[in-house]
Amino acid sequence: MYVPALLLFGVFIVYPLVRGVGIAFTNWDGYTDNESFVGWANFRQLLTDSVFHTALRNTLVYGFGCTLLQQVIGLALAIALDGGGRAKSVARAVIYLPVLVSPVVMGMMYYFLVQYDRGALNDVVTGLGFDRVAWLSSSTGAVVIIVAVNTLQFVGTSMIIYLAGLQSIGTEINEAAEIDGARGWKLLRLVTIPLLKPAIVSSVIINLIGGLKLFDVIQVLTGGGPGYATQSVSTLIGRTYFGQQAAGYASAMGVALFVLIAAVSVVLIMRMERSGRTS
Amino acid sequence: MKLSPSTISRRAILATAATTSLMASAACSRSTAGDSAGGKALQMFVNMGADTPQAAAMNKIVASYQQETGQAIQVTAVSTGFENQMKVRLASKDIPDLFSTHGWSLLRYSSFLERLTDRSWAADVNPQLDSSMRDANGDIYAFPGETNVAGVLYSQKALAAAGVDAAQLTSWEAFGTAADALLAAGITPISCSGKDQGPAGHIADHLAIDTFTDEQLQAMKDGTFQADAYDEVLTRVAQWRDGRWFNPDYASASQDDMAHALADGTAGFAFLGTSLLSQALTYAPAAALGFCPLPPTHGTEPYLVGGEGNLAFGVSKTSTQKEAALAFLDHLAKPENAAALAESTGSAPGLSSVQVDFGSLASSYEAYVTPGKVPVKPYFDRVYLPNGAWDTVVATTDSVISGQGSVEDAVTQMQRQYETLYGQQ
Repeated sequence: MYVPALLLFGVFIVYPLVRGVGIAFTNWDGYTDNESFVGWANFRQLLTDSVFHTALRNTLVYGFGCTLLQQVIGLALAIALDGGGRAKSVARAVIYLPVLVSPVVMGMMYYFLVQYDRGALNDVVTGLGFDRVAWLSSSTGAVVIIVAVNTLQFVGTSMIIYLAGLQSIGTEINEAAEIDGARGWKLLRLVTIPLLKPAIVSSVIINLIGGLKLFDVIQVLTGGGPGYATQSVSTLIGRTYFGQQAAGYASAMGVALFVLIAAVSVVLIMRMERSGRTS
Repeated sequence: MKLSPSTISRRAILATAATTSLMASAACSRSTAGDSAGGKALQMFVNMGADTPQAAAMNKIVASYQQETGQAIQVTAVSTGFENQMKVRLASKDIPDLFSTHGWSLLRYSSFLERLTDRSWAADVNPQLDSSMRDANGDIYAFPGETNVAGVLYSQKALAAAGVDAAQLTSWEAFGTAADALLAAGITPISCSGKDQGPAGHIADHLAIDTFTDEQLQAMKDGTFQADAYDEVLTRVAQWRDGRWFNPDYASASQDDMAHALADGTAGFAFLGTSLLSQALTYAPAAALGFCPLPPTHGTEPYLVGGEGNLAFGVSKTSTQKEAALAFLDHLAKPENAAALAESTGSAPGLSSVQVDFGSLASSYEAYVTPGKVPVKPYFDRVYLPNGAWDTVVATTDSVISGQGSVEDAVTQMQRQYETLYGQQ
């Protein structure tokens, strides 16, 4: 009964994973049959490669920055839009819609917004009498824009998760808390957020994994530039594999990213579970 | 609160998803195929935008060939990511019958390609392509639809506004004076793209071939990286950056923006192949555009850079329809088809016997290419760098132009990549 599922899992998950790890120990160029075993050389190179370090730092910024913003904004939106009413339904749909759009399309839309010459944002800026701004020319500015675009796209996911979480909190709990004098911020901090812990765990893990794997938006908005300033590990893997024809080294980066995401996820789940038990 | 199905309309979701998928697929590639007259369609994978003059020329040739012979050809045109897709197809042994070699028929693809030296047109290949397309035995592996020529591309409108004469740009000092004059006139001296992976690298590539001495070039071929010479190349680029000669939107500008800037006359110069001028002419057909030789650095005279361009096609040596694919390649080499391909990209033809109408670029070709007096040097990376180094050329030059990295760091990175790739050869 489980054989077809196991077979598919083996073919599409286990085999590529094992093969990918295997390639990380070779100097394969990614397209010919020439391939030699190089031991740990690719992993040692990761330790001294300043470009990889930049990409790793950016990956952490994308992962944790987007996750933090998405939790704060998503929870605020969920609380504000909880309840019935046509206006709230429409607002929820509008906020969630970007999740359904391809990140490539989302990136293109925002590229047209922040473009220097024909960008809508600069049309506003020049309309107000100021000089055009090269929004994507500084590394910090470009990283911030990428974080903002990704947050805007996926904040709807957090909002929906928190809305579901809010639904699971019975009205009697809130009423009881209110009778005990908990209102506003106090109610949120002492009652709502602790009861939302399962939703928080789900939302944080989904957003964090998405942020740590960020690829499409970066590729469309900046291509990883200027220089290597906005590369994430994912985009750098693509560039290293195809552009530099270093499939072995790119695979080593992939293994490092896999370990990073797995470690962060495990730590998060364990902390959340421990915190859940103590509360 | 309850989330009812009506909260998010299913129709809206489906419509958005369908539209998004369609937009994404349409933007990436397009296939054209005709009915086969009994045989299997030839698979042709080409590196060109679906709506470009090159694709129009190719589709016309394919349609007429199909009508003439009944042989169906499925052309898949990919504008971005061609290189990545091609490598995946090579790695997975899913190799199309014919494919674009886009500058790499010898170094990258020759082991996958059928030798074409014995085809009737092979002896007629422009000798300027020998260094990049023929191996040590004189063998050739692709049909060249163009001889890509590159120099300093310019907008006559921009130069006229700044009082610059392109014919006088015979030294880097003169080029600098011209760039400053353009800047003073409120015109961007040099248009380049940091968003697309390529244009930045072309600047270093064009400069390097004359910055390295003959001895240094030979040493590069022998496996010793010449850091001082590469430092000189990037130092010049850094000087241009410090002089504010590059477009302020460099980081977000695409190659398309470069074409617009030349077409509009808002930029004076660009460093790419003449296909950029063809692209610009599609936006402003009446624009006065041209190109001139690059000023010498250590050489004695101005020079052009040239070699195999995007319009070069080879036949997979593992193709099950090799004869049919070779026959179509011979069809491409017919004078009228070879001319149409070259004209579509504004380049010189790949075959010496073919006559081409250069259109509005005729004056530049007549001044610098047709007489054959200006030396045409090969692309630096294709002859003197190991296969796979181009991406690092682009990234390191990009880091210097954008100010994200120092010249010293860029040279170190370039050296490391050179030595890694050279060691793998």
